[in-house]
Amino acid sequence: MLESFLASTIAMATPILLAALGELVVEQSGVINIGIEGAMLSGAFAALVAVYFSGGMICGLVVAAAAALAVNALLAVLVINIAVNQVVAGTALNLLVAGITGVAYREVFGVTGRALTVRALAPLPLGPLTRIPLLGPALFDQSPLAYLALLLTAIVGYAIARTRAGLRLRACGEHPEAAAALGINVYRMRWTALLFAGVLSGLGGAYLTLVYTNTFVEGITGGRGFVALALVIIGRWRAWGIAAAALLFGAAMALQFTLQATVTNLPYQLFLALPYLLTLLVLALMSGQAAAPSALGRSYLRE
Amino acid sequence: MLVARGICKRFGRTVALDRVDFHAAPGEIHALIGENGAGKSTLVSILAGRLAPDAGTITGADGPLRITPGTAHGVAAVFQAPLLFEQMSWEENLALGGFRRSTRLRPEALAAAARAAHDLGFALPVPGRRVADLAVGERVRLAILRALSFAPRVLLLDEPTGALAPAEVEQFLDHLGRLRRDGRAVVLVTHRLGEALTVADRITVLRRGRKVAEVPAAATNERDLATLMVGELPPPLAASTYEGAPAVLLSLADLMLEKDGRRLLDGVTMEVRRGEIVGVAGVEGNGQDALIAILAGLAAPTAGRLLTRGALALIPQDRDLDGLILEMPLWENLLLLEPLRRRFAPRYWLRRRDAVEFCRALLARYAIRAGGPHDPAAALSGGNRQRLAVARALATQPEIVVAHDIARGLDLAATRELHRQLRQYAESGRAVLLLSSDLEEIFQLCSRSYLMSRGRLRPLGPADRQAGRFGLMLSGAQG
Repeated sequence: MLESFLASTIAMATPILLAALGELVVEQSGVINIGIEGAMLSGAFAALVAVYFSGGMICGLVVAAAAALAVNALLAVLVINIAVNQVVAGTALNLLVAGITGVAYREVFGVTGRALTVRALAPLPLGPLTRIPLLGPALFDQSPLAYLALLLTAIVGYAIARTRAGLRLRACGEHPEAAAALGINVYRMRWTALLFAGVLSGLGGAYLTLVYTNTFVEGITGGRGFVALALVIIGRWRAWGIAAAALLFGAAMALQFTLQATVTNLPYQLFLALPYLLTLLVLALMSGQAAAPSALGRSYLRE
Repeated sequence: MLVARGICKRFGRTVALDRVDFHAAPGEIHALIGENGAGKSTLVSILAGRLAPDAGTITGADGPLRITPGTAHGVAAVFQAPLLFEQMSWEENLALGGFRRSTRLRPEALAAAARAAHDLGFALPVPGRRVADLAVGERVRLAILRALSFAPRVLLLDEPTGALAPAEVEQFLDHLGRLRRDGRAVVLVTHRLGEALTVADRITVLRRGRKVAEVPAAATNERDLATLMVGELPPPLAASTYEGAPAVLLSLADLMLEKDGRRLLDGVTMEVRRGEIVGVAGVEGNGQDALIAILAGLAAPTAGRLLTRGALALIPQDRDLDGLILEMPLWENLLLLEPLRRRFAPRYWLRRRDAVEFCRALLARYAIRAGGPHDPAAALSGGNRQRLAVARALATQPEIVVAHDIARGLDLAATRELHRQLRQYAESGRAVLLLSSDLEEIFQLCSRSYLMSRGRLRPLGPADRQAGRFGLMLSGAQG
């Protein structure tokens, strides 16, 4: 019971953690990517299509990353080069991707009324580590993407705080004009950040179709992109803080499943809402913008 | 090597630069002087590549430069409002400079920075401190260090000495001499004519966006330069004429402020009476910011008493804090101040026409160079923004005006004009408290003055007025 709860927590936390790490990098460069929900959705859809037609998992992940990369590249053109309002552009992109994936799904697979399933991305047990009681099966018998998320938490956290590239990234989010005056190419930095985030949200999306459900339904992301946005705030713009917040959200999701199965005299919608209520609550409690990059959401155009 | 030809730049209807030629030659210090709004800062921004000119060309050592030459072309600049990353530590700000190229942020860069600071005679701030918590002088020092870290072939300095202590200025100017001997080009924007004459080889004078003279420093003098800059100097200030009752309007009794275990203010006691201008001299970082914070109601004193009679208006030092919203038109900016808002929007509706007219009158009265009340505040030069902030503060008719380093970066004529306004205001039976690191300003304007040092106030007598003695006191006072 506890074992499966832990395993489920990590499984639930993985896709949003991947997306949130990408969002962290983007926000450190001064861009707020509301379109993250759309990027995840495109990744989820592309992964399913690729695996369905090719059967290869690697192919599915690469195509998912590429699809979300394309979505973010479109966003980059809009918000970085043309300086469209970032919230407006991101929201528009979300609607666009939701529409396209819905239509494309029906176009490609027809309306059969029957859920379309693909092979799942198999977990990758880490040998003897899985034999640790309780923790072993929960932590070390996960999808490769879960390990990747953890690894990236460490790498992104270190890179942002301790490397020159991270410093230059933060400089763009803190004061783009000053960064430019010091010879930093703000455009390139923000583009790079958005493309990196594209890959991560694509993988996060792929996780939803290839690990969770093995199928695709319209709007499968179910607001997880927005949860990722919230995680960045809850985690105070720090990689490990975000990982902790993702685990909290994952735990709420896992708990929700358990409660749905065990408590039958309450409407199940109540439990469905639990993780989102929790996010809202923590977000409200962790108010204050102190840790946010100063130029977050502000367009930068060279004079 | 940097040559600019026929540079033109307009902001809205304001012509900032009109066909200006300028060059920075290796092994030469080229001073750029002019009144406020003459176009000095605009020219520096264009030379540094932050701003694209409307017309004209800039040629570097490797041929014509496109927009944004920046550090890649060996040009580094210290702008009047230093471009610093407020939420980062000062070390990170330096690491974004050119000290050391490595992927990791390691102490080598800091060691290099410490050496450079030592060469300049600068003290480095407390390790790990955020720039947002640094005093203005510390920021300027940081920006200078960072610019020098690029080992630039052309160094552009926009009013770098305004926030430095006298001893620091001397050492800094010495260092500029060394850069010249290394064959670097230095462009120094300054409002101190004496500074330009001592340190520069060549002086260019701008007036209202036009270049009016370019002369070798050896072939000119202070009086000629002043004449070139403004045409003629306004008369010096006469003695105060207020003859009413000298009631106390502001009284501080044994004010203490402690923060993080540090004593920022230590028993500050003074009174400011009607008709007086009281000065507080001192090097930045000796408690001025703490005093201002208490007067502004942003900090509560740890101990002691603060009494004010009547409204108090504050004119802060940092122009970013002037409370101007750059995107808003000037007349709307006036309404940002509560008393003026009450006057022009007493109920639900804005008295737009009255406010615009009021703004127009204010612009004329304070000789603020702007296209009109509908211009955005962004179209004003730094000095004119400062004047607008002063004009706005005085327009609310406060009993007490607290002005902090208002003349920083202002030229002689603008400073005199500002001083005249303050003097007139005091003579009308109000009180002015002036905090400044410029001793001349304090002595010229104030009826009584104090020296602020390590959070303490010490009254200054006539014997302290000898420049040499005072300079020593100030240097000793620097902690």
